[in-house]
Amino acid sequence: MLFPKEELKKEYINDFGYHEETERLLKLRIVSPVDLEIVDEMEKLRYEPIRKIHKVKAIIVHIHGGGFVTMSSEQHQSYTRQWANDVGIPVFMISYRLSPE
Amino acid sequence: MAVGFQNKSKDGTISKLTDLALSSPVYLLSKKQRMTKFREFVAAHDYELVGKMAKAINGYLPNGLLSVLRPKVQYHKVIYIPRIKKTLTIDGLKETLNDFVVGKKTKNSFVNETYSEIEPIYSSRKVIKTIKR
Repeated sequence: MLFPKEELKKEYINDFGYHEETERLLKLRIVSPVDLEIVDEMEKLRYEPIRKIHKVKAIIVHIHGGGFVTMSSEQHQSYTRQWANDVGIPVFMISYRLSPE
Repeated sequence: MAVGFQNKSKDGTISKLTDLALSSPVYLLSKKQRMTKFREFVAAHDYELVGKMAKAINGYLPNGLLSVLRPKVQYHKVIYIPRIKKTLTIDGLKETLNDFVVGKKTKNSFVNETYSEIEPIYSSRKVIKTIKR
């Protein structure tokens, strides 16, 4: 599984929560029944002989509704968590900017 | 909403919201009075209070309550990804639209072949005539 580390957040976001080059970051909420790890290509080569790395074969991308005005990814967790547990696939929830923002 | 109008004189937002929560059952007892209050509120509404109410209903109140009822998951994390594509601007759109103007030769031959025939020719001569009585 490949995704940016937590350090990225510190690098890109200012005190005001904006990107330095006036480009805001996209917020993703991951909900999965299995533990996910950050694995670079170099780390993968290093750790593969020691332990097995299971690849995630499929993901569910969830974009919440609300007319681009209301709701957030937090509020839709009640059923997406159930999906993740029932199907056994991680759910990636996109929380986009709303209209006044 | 009706109770919100009633508590307009109060300054604190927390006191307003608590009054809203407590005095909402009163609506059932005195329906006519509350409906008149509601109509008054619609006629002369307070934007700030309405915004705060909408935020409370959508945001922190259900989040706090539903966090207990949510099914448990082994892994939950929030990450931030930088955007790859640039945001759309009016200047950028104008540049792209210049390629699609009728009769103008563009660099891409594909565009001329397809869109020059399909697009309608706009003329300034067309005037909608109105009937005078």
